[in-house]
Amino acid sequence: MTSRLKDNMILKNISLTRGLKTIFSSLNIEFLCPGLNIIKGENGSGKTSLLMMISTLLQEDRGTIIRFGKLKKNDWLNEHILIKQNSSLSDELTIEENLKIWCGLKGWNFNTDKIEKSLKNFGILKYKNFLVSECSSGVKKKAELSKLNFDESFKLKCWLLDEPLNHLDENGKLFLKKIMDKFINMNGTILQTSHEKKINHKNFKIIKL
Amino acid sequence: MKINFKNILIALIEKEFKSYLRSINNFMNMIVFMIAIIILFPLTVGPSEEKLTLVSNAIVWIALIVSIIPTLDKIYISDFKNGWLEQYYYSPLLLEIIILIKCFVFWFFLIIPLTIFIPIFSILLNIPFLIIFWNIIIFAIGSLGFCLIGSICSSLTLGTKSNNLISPLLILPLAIPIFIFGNGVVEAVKSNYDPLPNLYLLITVCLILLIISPLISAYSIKIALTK
Repeated sequence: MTSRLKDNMILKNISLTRGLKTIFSSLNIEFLCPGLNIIKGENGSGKTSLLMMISTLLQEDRGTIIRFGKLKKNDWLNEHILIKQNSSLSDELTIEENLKIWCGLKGWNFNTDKIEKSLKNFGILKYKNFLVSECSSGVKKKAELSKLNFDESFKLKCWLLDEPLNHLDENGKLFLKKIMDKFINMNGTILQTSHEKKINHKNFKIIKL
Repeated sequence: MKINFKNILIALIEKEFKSYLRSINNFMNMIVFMIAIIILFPLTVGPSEEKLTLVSNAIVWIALIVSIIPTLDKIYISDFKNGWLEQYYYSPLLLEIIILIKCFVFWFFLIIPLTIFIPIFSILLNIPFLIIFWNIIIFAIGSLGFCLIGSICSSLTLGTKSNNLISPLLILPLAIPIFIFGNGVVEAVKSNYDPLPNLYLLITVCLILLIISPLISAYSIKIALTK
C-alpha cells in the first residue's frame, strides 16, 4: 500500500498564467502511474506548458503538484527526462558527441558502445559523425529520442514526451512504441502529448485539456 | 541511481572546448579587430614618438577590451537557443557551479590565448619590457573579472531581442574597478612605486566577482528559462 501511495502523480487545483494569458485555472488531474498518459488538446491548449510545469521549468501560480509522493525538487530532476518538441542538440557538435555529453551531464557513464547501440536501434548509426546542423528533422528527432534508449533511462520514474511522433518514420514509431512498452513494464510512467488518433498501446489513459 | 560528478565535469569541459574549437572564427574576429585598432591608432596620433609613448599602453588595453566585449555577451546565447541551458538546469550539478566552469573554460580557451598577442603588439608600439610583463599579468587576472561580468550581463539579457545593444552598456560600468586598478599597477611601475597594492585590489575585485557572478547568472538564467 505504501509503495502504491508513493507512485502517484496528481495535480490539484492548478492555475498557470504565462504573460497575460491564463493557461489553466483550477486544473485537477490524476495520472496513471505506472502507465501511459496521453495528453490531448487543441493547439495552444497548454499541453507543452503542462509538461514544462510538471518538469519544474514553469512555476504554477496556485495549487499543488504531487510528484511521486512529494519527491524533493533535486531528486525529481534526476528522476525524469523531458524530451521537447524542438531538438535540444547543439548544432556545432556531432550526434554522437551530443549524446555523449548529455549522458555525462546527467552524471551517467558515457561510452561509445552504449551510444552506438542506441543509435543503431533507431537506425541512424550511419549519421553518428554528422554535425547536427547537417541532419534532417527526422534524424534529429531520432537522435533526441535515443536518449530514452540508454539503460539508465529505464531506471527513471517518469518520461515527459512532447509530441515524440512528429517527424518520425514508421520504423521509428515502432521502435519508440517498443521502448515505451518496455519502460511501462518496468513500472515507469509516461506523460505524452499527441495529436495521433490511433493509439497502439494496451493500457493508457487519455487526458483532454 | 549512482551519479558520477567526474563525468559531469569532463562532459562540460569537453562540450565547451569542442564548441569553441568549431567556432574558431569568433576568436579570429577578435584578433583581426585588435590588429585593426593597433594599426589605425598610431596613424591617427601622428608620427611623433613622444605622443605615441604616452598613449601606447592605453592603445593595447583599449584594443583588448573592445575586441573582447562583443564576445562576452555570447557566452550563453547559443546554449539558450539550442536548449543546452535547459540540460544544464536538469543536471545534478548546481547551476552556479556549471556557470563557474563555463566562465573558466571561456577564459582559458578564448581570452588567455589573447595574452600571447600582448608582447607582439607592445613591441610594435615600443612599450618597455617591464611594462609588457606587468600588462600580461594584469590582463590575465583582469580578463577573468571581465568574463565574470560578461556572464552576469549575458544572462541578464538572455530573454531580450536586442541584447547586442544592452550588454556593452551593462558591462562597461561594472568593469570600471578593473580598469582603475589595472591601470594603477602600470602607473606605479612607470613611476617606480610598489605595484603590489593595486594588484591585490585587482585580485580582490576578481574574487568578489567570482562569488557573486555565478549566483546572479544562475538566478537570471532560471528566470529566462522559466519565462
